[in-house]
Amino acid sequence: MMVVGYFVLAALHVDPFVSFVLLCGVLVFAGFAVSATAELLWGTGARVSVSRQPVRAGETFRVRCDIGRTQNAQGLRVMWQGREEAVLRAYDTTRFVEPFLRQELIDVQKASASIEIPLDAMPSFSAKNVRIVWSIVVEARAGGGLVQNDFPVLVLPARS
Amino acid sequence: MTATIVLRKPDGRFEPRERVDGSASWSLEHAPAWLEVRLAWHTEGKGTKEVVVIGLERLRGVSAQDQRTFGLTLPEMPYTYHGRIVSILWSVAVFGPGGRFWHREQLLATLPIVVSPTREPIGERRT
Repeated sequence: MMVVGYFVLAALHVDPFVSFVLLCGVLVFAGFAVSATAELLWGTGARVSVSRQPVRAGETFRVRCDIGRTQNAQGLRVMWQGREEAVLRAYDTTRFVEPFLRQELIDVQKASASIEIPLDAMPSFSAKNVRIVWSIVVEARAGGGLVQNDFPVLVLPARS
Repeated sequence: MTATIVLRKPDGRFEPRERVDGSASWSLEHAPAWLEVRLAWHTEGKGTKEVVVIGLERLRGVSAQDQRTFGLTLPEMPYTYHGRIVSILWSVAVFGPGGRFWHREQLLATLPIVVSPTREPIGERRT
């Protein structure tokens, strides 16, 4: 489609550089449009609110989850998750993700849930090829697949 | 050709922001142009290995057999971590000039340390 668009613009005597910029803009817009349409069709419209952000290891905070489109929220699960991410930079970039904690939050839509971060928990950390990420994950079955929304929570080192 | 690192705290367990004091001694064939003590963390496990040097002390005017003290301060993060797919490991190391022109430097000695508020590695595999 991009190639066809490029030749159409060339036939209209549009400058090749302008065509390139224009088509890049169209591509980005199309990506946003597809993402927004998918969210409207299959997304849960989940919104997560936390009582404090960032939060320190050893502290407790409260979480509440609101689902905007309940018709899409089949098999809804809300989880407090800690995960490791590693990036392999070779000919292409491969990302490895492994949760080390998955704690389901029960009835988090009706009332806020309390989460206590252990004092010896690994805080959030980000380097070039490794990351420790804490987040609230909202999972639901929609459109024949599993839809996940990730709401990162910044966990800082405990107060010394 | 030998080199040894001895820490003032022999258990090698530190809290974040603590100072790592110790001494490095070596016995080499020739007096090196330079030696460096480096405090660094690196990753092991899945993904591309990452090595980050947090602090270094360049030792100049050293002789073939010598001993020098050093003091380097740890940052707040990261902690020593043994996870499911990645580990973050701290160490103190002594580097010197490489023997060949394509080896700019060579590792002479390394000593692993543990950095965490509990002075124990964080994570599931704590061995």
